[in-house]
Amino acid sequence: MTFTIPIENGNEVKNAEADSQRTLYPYVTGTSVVAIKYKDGILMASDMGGSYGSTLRYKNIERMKAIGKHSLLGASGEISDLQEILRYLDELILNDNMWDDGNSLGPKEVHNYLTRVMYNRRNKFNPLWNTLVLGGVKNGEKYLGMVSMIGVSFEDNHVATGFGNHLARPILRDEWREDLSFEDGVKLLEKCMRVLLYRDRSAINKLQIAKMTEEGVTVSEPYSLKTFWEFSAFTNPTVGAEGSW
Amino acid sequence: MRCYRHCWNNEARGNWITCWVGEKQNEIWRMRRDGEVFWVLADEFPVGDFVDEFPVGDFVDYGRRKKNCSFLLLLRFYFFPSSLTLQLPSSRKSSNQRVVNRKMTQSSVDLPPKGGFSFDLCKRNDMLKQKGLKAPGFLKTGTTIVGLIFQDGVILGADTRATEGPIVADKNCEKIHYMAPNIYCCGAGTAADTEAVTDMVSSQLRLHRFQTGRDSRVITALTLLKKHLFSYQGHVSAALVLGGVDITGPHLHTIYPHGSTDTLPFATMGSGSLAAMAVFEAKYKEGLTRDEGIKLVAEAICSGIFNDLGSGSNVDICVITKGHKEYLRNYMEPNPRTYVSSKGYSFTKKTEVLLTKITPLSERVEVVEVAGEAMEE
Repeated sequence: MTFTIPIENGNEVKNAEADSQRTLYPYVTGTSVVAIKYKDGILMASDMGGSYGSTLRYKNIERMKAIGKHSLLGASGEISDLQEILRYLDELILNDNMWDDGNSLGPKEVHNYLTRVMYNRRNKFNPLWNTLVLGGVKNGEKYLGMVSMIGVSFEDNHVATGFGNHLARPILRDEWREDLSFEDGVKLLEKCMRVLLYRDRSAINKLQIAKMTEEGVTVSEPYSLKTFWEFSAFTNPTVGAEGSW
Repeated sequence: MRCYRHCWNNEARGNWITCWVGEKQNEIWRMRRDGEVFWVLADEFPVGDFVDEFPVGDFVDYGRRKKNCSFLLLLRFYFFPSSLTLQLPSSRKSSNQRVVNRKMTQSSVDLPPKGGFSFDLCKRNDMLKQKGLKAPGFLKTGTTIVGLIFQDGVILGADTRATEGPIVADKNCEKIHYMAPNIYCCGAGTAADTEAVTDMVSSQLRLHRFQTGRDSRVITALTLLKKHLFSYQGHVSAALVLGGVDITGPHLHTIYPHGSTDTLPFATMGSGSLAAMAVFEAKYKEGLTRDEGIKLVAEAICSGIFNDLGSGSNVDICVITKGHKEYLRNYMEPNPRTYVSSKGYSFTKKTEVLLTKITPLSERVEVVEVAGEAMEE
């Protein structure tokens, strides 16, 4: 609830109590999500970390959830806002089921709903501090889209949030093809997640890959990637100049 | 002896710098902006005019002279050249003249040589900015630069776009700078800074080679650059990727504007560094051959060119091996100008030429040879 106090010149001023109810900063955040379209549907990968500022506070957060029968949501940013969004979507899907008319909300509809929600919250200066990735398959048609916290939304063959935009998108732009098989898709996603693991400070080596096809959603068990640290320049960086750095 | 700087920007007095000299008597020296010296008696100024004591380097607006203090005013000011000599008016004779004279001989004050960065102008720049002066923009390189070590040596790569804010200032500039026959350096950041700093260290390396009679080592260049950049506390905005092969083997280093360095098997810098690093982290392995290395470097630069707005145009590559180097300028040109209008441009004629007459200028001007001293008048 917001309380407004009118003052002489007609402008209204929100009081301090109301201010504390708006989202000003994110607190517990998840890092990037990377998703691609492949031959049979959508593949999405994200790690399982929740950072509290610069501390790695939670290591078991699932940031990818199935929505209804046809969609898969992945989110980065404030975790509490993600849980709020899941509640909204729960209500949405429930209402849709209650109609019991043989039709169910597909990824396009869910994406549109989320865009409206995010943009509206932004207009009220009370954003949900997330960047969402929405993918799904309905009636054989694959769909992959993204919504940011200010309501920017678009659809593409491969999307990434946060740091993934800078590190994963160049790789995806180079190497994504229309007819990737499941194994190739997973390899490509793992390549991106490995680079993110090396170069994003809030990434952890515990990730999940989710697969969305006509049959439904499967979220894999958490696993970790192999990393390589044995470059000779790392083991002996000051060769020829002992004592320097 | 206390020294003062004084600025009196009084409109009525027309931008004079005023200083006080002397003990009991309020002798006042006034100096105009161009350095000419006058002196006037204190009667012009009411007694009780004050000047405060300030350490050298401060600006004051107005000062009131204290009674019975002896001091010499330092006339150096930000409008003035650094060393000034005051002239005593020869007719002036007073008991204070001796005192004044002694102080005057020290008037061309030499400050002790200062090491490191002189921050004087930073204060002036802040003051000018507050008064509303817009600082001039500078040419940045907004870049992707990379380097990697392969089995025989080092490969450096760079894009060729120089930006000035949102505008591309130079479509095909050279970002790989020569340091020594066996050492090259890519530069990102402010273009002037990277040019100047690499030129300077290159000269220093040449002199060092004369002195020692040996090939330069990469760590020598590294230390010279690092020392220079650190002493300027990051104000020299040059981020460099330094690579070369010397007697101890191939080396690759990154140098940040504040003076820290890293030694790496592969490195990227600039605004496109994340895009290029993504390619390197995914595909780099030890023991690459020359062709594999060049291909990977070109791929990383292209990733920067196509995914970063600050980088663009062509790919430059430099391959350095033991005893041999290859500078491949514009190795790849992935952004050619594909369409040029075949019709060309035609401009409609606006003025008609009625008459053409050519008059050689030598008819109108008398050219006189003079002896060399004429110029000295």
